[in-house]
Amino acid sequence: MNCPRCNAKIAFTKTQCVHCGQDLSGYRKIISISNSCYNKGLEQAKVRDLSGAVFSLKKSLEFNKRNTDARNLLGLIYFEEGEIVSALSEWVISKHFQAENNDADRYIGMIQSNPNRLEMYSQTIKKYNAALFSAQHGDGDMAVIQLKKVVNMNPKFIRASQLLALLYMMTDKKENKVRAKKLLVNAGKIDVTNTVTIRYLNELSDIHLKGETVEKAPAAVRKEPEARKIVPQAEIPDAYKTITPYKEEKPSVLPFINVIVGVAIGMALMGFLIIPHIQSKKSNQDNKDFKNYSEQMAESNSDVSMLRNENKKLTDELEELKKQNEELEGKGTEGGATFQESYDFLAEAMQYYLDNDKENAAKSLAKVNEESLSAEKTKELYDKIKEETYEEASNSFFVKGRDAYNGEGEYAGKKDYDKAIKLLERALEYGPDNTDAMYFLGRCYQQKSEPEKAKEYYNKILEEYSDSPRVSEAQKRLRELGE
Amino acid sequence: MDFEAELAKFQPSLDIEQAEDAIYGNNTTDVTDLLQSILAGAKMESENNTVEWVEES
Repeated sequence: MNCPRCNAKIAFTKTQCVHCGQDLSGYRKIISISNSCYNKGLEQAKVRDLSGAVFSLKKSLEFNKRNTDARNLLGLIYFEEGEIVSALSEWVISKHFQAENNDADRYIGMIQSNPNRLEMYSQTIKKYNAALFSAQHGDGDMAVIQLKKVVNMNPKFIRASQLLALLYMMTDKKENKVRAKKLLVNAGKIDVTNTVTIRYLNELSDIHLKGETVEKAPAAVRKEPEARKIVPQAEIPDAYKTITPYKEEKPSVLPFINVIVGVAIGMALMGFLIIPHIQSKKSNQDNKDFKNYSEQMAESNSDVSMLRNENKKLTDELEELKKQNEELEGKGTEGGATFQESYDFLAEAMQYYLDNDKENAAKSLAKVNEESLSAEKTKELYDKIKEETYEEASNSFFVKGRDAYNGEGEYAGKKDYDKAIKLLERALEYGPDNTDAMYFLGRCYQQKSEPEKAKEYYNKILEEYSDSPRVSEAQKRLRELGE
Repeated sequence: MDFEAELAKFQPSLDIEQAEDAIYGNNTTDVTDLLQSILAGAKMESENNTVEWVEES
């Protein structure tokens, strides 16, 4: 510790300067606070909390401007953030306060020893300032071009990365937002607590980079400074802490071993617990599917059987309907006219009846199949026409048959017993009780020397129509035939 | 986010040629200086306030 009045070196434990007699009790407290702030800044710098470290170190220097370690570390942090002029300023001031045995000598020498690098730093600053001017005056494209060069030349220049990211974000294009996020992520690796970087990243929270979830641990501080001097003890608790050297942390293999062990445990869990469970679940599902399939098969078989029965029933119904249709349209009942034909003949007979042609009416009516007449009214009509025409038709055929037998009328002079028989049989057809027709049939067969047939008709008159006027004649003819 | 406001927050970086000005312009007054001046001021005040002994008449 140096005496604030005479700058003489004195032991930290002294409460009074041995050279000038200056009271050092208050001064010691201030030095202790400064050292505490430095220690805090050093810890923050180790974990790349550079913004926090800058704040702590500035605080340390506000208490004690001669804290060389704090000032040198502040310069290093500025250098890490790409703020070359600020870094050089701190180191020069540090050199001013402590001309001998100062690490700042080495830092300044490191920059000055390489003119190309110094020129490069100078160029990056100039380009950054030009780009900022362009951006603030509406020429964003030019600013982006300049800043790209700056970031390419000095990727650790945080302010340039942030400005370029902001300009990318202003375009609202997704690819530019991705670029902005990449820049900000890299800037975040240099200074993990930079509020501007964090705020911009929050704005881009909807943008996801490839492999974003795997965040790498922030790299260690590039330069390892010389081991800091141990700050003397004081009354303030923090001041008793030994200042730990500012050095790069060595990479540890422990995390990798942990990862490998974790993967092995995960695979074992998969093998013993999850895979059997999945297989069991799959087996259950298969069984369930098979059961459903069997049920569906049984149901389908039942349906098929039911459909077959239904098909048979419908086929039978169809056959029945076909049969009925055939009866109605064509084939008719056995031995008679069809339904249609019967009605046609009935209509024909009715027409003849209306024309008073009773013989033809009877002929047409004879063709009607009485069984096919189902309607009551039709049946009545049929019976009425039959009643009024058959008798007359029978008489008409009888007269013609008799004329053929006698050789009279249209058969005048040419007796024809065969024709007479046909006509008389027609007469019996229309009038089964026509005894005149029976008698002349007997006569025809008698003339044709067929006495048996003749006797048959004569006997029929005698037996069935005993009150007929032809009875006496029939008896007479039978006697002629030897009865 | 107000981009224009954000843009306005960015300040130009000091050129290397301006480093000298930055160094000279750096306010290096610290608490020890303040303490020193306070103590010096207090001492002067105490010297000025010293009352000479006067014999009673």
